Amino acid sequence: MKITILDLKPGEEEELIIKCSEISDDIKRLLNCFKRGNRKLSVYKDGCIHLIEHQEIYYFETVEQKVFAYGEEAVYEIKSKLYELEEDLPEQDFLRVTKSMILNLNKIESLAPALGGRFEALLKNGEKIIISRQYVVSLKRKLGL
Amino acid sequence: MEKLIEYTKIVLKFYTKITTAVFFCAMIYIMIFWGTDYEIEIIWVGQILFVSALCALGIVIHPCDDEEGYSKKSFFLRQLLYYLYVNAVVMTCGYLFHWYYAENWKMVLGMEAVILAVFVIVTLTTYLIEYKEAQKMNKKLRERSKPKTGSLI
Repeated sequence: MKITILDLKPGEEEELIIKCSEISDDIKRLLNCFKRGNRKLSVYKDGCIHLIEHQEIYYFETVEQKVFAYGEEAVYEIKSKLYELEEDLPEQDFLRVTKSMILNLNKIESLAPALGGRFEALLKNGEKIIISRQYVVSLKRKLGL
Repeated sequence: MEKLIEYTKIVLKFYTKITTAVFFCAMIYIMIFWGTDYEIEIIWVGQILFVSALCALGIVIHPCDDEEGYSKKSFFLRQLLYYLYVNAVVMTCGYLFHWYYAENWKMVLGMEAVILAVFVIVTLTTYLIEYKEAQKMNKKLRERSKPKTGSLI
């Protein structure tokens, strides 16, 4: 891809123009980066605030009205609501898989059918997550099926 | 509304599977108990479609969304209840539509065999379809995780 950077004329506003035949996943990621800036997730663990990249998180889950972010090994608490996170996270990477869970698609190792139209996702850290029947359609759509 | 449409689609898909399996099993049942040269009346087709629809409606026993405590145990219990429901529907309707004679134990056994066969066929078909879907999704996931040359980020 060709990258062109032009000088601004006096009084001109900074502008990002993307010329493409279709909005690919790469472009979506790029746009998302611009929209989000360098914003990291503020998470809490043992009374301390940590700033982490959303890509480090395997999934978010609501347990007893608290939202937790699950990393490879560590579990953090998050002050945002699950629906707020859903809006904030990059939509090509994260998907609501049950009423109480948002899953990072990049952390799925494999999928297998579970009982009753549900699917079981084996994550890269060995954990198993159930994908509810009502969200399977969105998962397929997101994977381009 | 979207949820209702999604659930209706699930019931309709299930109905298609049941009806297809019922037609195959009914053909074998008719050949055994009514003879190979028996000509079925068109009303039988309507009756089969009606009974299949009632059986398909029974799927509401499984929740559409992720209900709390929807465990494997709960799933098998619901499946058992569903199987009993299907038995009740088919045997009652079959008796009323004169598909079998209650005093002929061989016919009753034949009906039970048909119910079991349809149940097993539909369950297996559903699992195989889901297995294939999982394979397709796994393929897409693998493509997704491949490092892209010239990737922007």
